[in-house]
Amino acid sequence: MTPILETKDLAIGFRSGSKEKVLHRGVALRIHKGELSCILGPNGAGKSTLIKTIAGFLKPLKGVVNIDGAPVAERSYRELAFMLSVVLTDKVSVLYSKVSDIVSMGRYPHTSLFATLKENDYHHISKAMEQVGISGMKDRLFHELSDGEKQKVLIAKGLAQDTPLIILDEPTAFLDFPSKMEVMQILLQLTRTAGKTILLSTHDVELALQVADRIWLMDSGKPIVTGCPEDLVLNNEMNHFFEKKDIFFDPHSGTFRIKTSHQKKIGMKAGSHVMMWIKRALERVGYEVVEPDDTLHRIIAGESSNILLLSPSGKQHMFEDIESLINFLKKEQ
Amino acid sequence: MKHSRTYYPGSRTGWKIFWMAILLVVLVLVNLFTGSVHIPVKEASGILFFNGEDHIIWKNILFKSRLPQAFTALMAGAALSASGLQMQTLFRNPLAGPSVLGISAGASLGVAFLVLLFKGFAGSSLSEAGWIGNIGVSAAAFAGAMGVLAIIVLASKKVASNTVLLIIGIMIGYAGSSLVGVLKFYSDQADLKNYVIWGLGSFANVATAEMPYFIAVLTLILIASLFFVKHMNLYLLGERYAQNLGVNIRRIRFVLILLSGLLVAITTAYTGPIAFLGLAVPHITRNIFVTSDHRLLLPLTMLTGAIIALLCNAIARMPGFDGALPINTITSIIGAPIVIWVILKQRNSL
Repeated sequence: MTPILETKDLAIGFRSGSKEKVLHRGVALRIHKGELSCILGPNGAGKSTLIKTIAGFLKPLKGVVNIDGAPVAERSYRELAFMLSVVLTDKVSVLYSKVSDIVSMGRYPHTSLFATLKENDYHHISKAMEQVGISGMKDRLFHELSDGEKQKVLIAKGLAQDTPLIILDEPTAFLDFPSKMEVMQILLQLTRTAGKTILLSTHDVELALQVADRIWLMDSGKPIVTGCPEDLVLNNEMNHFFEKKDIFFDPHSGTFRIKTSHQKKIGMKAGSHVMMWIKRALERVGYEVVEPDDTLHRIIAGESSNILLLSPSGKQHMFEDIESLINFLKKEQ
Repeated sequence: MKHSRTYYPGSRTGWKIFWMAILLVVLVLVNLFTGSVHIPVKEASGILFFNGEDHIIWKNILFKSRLPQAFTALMAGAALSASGLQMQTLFRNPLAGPSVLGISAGASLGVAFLVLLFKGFAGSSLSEAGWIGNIGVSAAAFAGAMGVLAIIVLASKKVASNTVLLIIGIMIGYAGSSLVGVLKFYSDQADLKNYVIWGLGSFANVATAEMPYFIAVLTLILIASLFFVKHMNLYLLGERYAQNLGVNIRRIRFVLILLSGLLVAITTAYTGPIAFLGLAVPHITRNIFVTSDHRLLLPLTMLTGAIIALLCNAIARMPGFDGALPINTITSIIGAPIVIWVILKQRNSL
């Protein structure tokens, strides 16, 4: 199967005059139809530059980007408009445009000189708005929307463009957490039900791990590492890429954790989700959670959310919530 | 399946256009029937529409002064406003206008060279040269404007960034003004006054014989502008989005600069620099029709521009005044508050 997007020996970066600033070279990446790929990496890793090069806004310093087997650089703007749509971080400040007007601009490549919309265009526009859940706000003015709503409108614009490939540069930046989740969920849905191929860059590692079919890890000065997210966790690449002092990637929970220094030990058996949250709280306040034995305070989850603590002397304590447990342990010290 | 057709003007927009068209006709008539010389409406309409009433002086006033002036105002208003809208959209800047690329400064420089240096070469003041002087002024203004336009177009081929291009335009404007300052400094008072009067703008300088060409050329460029409304709409999203939607950014930028520049160059050659119209009218039009869709906005900006220019001209020649006020005083007094109002209104959304 030929990949829908493929880069060969690609060098990305900036060219000013005869000077070249290369960010990455020898980039060889591929995306297959129907996949959701996420580019992860810190600021300055070259995520945006890679996306702009793939979308044809920047010329490759070397090598080629192929879409559907043919180089992007050899296609006209018009041809590209039918192959890929973009959602960028560029601020769109349009006054007096309705949401449906913005979405309908996605249809412009399909229209004639005066952008007259036909039945088929209206169909695509309303379908796109339905897919991202903004049909209810189609008559609202774009400049009055929140950042999250604007992002969805621009995604709908990309959908209305009806291209097999959609490329998004940090679609979840500037959004609150529920909106981040919602946007990612919408994008995942589009690859699964609408057959779209999606490439996006993001800082939201944990969200990306949940939705991505393939992850591209980028950092300046390192070669790009790609793979299925679960493989990247198991072979320690995730940890390797993001490890900083006192921050580590916890392969058990798939989240980043702050390292805490453990002065004391406490015994507890892993178990239900209640136990997991108790463990997190204990680690935060400085306990190392180990296998229970008689010399330590031991925690046994009680009925419902009651927590039972057994001290080395054999005394039992009951707590209604984690906060009172922690307060008790602090007093004990 | 039924879909809402958001892009067709609603009935309210239709009525607004209807009333504005009526207003345009009324203002043309006001411009014809009012002025420093009182001509009774009945006689005036007789002369204009029924070819009657052999009153030679009134006939001359109507056909050689008021009618050309009304049409000059109408065309200049439409042209400058369209040019302003093109610049605002191209540079995605609400404060852009026809003068932003330094083209009207080029016209001023051309006129300054001619008016202020004429005496040195010809031995007599330009104002003594009569109608040849008038044509000379228009030619000089046009030459100056086209000179700057040529520089900007060349720069637009070399420079990728719109912001850089905008700055180049503004700097050319400043350089032109300072050269004009030098010329002013060394010129004598009579010539200086002539130059200052040209700089105040006037719709009265297109001769009846030149009128058909003035109208035809501007109309052609305005019609040509209408063929790029789709690209202008996409420009609202920004250059990258526009490119992704199939627009050849460089080509469209070249076309918009050329069309906008020609509109300014031709208009300014005859009317002198007209302040604020091109900047304010697109904003007024957006607010009246609550749209930024250029398929409506561009033609309606032309309509609104024509109306406002006619209104300014009518105010400038109100019967109470002795003679006529300079047109720029009126456009500025109307335009400045509008620009402030627009900035206050858009502060939150831009």
